[in-house]
Amino acid sequence: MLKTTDLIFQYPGGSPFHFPDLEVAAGQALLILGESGCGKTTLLHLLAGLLRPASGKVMIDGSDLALMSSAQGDRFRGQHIGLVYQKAYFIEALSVLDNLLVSPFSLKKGNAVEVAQRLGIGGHLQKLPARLSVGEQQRASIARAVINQPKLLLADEPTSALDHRNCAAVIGLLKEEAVANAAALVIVTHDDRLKSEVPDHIELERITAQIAIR
Amino acid sequence: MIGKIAWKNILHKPLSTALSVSLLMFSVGIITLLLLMQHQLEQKFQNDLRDIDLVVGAKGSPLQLVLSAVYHLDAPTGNIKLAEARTIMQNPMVEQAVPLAYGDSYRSYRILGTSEDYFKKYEAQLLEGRLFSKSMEAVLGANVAEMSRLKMGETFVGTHGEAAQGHVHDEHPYTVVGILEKTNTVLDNLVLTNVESVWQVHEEHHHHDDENHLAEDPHATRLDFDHDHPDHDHDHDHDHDHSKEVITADSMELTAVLLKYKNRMTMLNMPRIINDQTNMMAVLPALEINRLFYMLGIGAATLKLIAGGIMLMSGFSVFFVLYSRLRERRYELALLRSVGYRPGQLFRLLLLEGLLLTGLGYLLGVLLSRLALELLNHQAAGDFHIKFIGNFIPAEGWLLILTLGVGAVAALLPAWKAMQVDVSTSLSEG
Repeated sequence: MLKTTDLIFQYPGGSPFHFPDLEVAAGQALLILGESGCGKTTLLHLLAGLLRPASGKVMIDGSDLALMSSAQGDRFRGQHIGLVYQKAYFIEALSVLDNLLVSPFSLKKGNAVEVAQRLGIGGHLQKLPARLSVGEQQRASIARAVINQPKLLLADEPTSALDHRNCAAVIGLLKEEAVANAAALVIVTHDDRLKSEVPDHIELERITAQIAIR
Repeated sequence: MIGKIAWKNILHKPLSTALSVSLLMFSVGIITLLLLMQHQLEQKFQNDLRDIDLVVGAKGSPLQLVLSAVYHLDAPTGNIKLAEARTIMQNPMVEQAVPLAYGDSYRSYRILGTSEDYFKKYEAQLLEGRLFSKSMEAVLGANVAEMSRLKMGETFVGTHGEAAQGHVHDEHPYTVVGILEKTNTVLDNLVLTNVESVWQVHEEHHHHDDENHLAEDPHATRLDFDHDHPDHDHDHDHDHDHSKEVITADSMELTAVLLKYKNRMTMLNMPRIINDQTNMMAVLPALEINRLFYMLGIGAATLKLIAGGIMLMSGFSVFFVLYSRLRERRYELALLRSVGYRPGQLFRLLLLEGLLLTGLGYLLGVLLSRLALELLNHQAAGDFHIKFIGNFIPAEGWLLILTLGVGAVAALLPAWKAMQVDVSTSLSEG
């Protein structure tokens, strides 16, 4: 489902990041571990098409994200990629239900209710996101990420703000959702607790020269 | 969804929204109220003016003469001698001359002695009954009939002057012989009778006051001159045949005459001749009304300038509200980008918020102006018999465009900034 080759990214004025090639099948999960500043989030944003690589390929279900125009990239991301962030970002003025359906490519409302119930936040749909607990907010983020039945599910430090119980629950839910939607799941984190939850993992090397420049 | 986000967003910050909206509400409210009043006053004045080319009355303030004789909004300037008026009324170049004799009032509605031409001028239709055919018969305007609840055949007496507690002429009752349909003209607020009735009611005073010429009495503004002598001893037991003789006498008086020329161009000299060679004053009502509106316009323009200043401030407040929130909303905007929205759609979102804030202010402003109009109607109706209506006028459409323009301009820079949000950087800030 997801395959990257020879990914190189360069911030303006910085030296290039070289990323290892990745391959994740539908329904499978990959954990990318690394310290802060090693380019984990940069890699994730490259996979999401939020950043453009200097060279290399990001193939998702046969489409190369790096070759798409900005508009095509936004559309592809909206339709096929679900993102979960370290912090649960919401449109604070909208209800949880409206936040789930915020994407311009959202499917029907019934689907949102079903997903929310699956993730255990079915009773909170009419509340404002700020009224939810941290754990509930992260579940709502996952619900929003999977609402369009994405091909690729990306999570950036999804558990760092959570306690042990919520941490295990969130990872469990992400894996379940990846299987349910036949999506490739990529989690980047420095949270070693997750190693036991996700068997496939790679470690990003910290490259001192790059850190010095950033 | 963009629309929903914009709407929820401005509701989510009620205080800053209230500030922008209320500033706009007041500025739009003031401007709309002025536009409405100006529009309707001009329309009403134009409508009541009809085809009156010249107003002839006693010497005094020209504007006062027009306001009193044509619009019944002011006290008359005095009276003119029937003999003198006749020479003008019978001029071959005059197509129509409507005599007006101001009588008493009935419940603050003026009793006006006139001729049938006056009804024709305003295209009045009778709702019931007939026009007056002899003295002491009265036809009620629509509002008078409604307010007084007088029925056909009932009698009433006039009160001297327009003060409610004035002298009551209870020895001269009028009989209602007709009620007019609503005309939306001055007729609605008048009690109409023939000129002779007015003379007849006040005849005894004339006998008394003949030697006391009205032109020399600065307080004399009506046919009757004894405001200050409530204990005045009237000769009540006159008989009507006797009064007829008096009426035909040229010493009787009118308050004003409304003239319509056969051909306007041939009559250009008439006002000057009347003003120079008689004791009367001739005024072109259209000219006076234009002058009045010009003067009112200066006041209205000042108020509009103030309202425009408030609108400018509200534009700034919309700008500040949108711009200052950009920093805290940077995550939201990045989130919207990450779920598939294009930069152009974020631009639209901010623009829409600006338009919603100003549009809301416009709506409330228009509502406020209607409310103020109601209040004004409540207070002014009794004094001036003018009722403003809250119909939409074209100028309000232009005001809407202007208001939305202010919103769009105020939102332009914030919207531009929203487009530039760096998604990756914003979302990786923990």
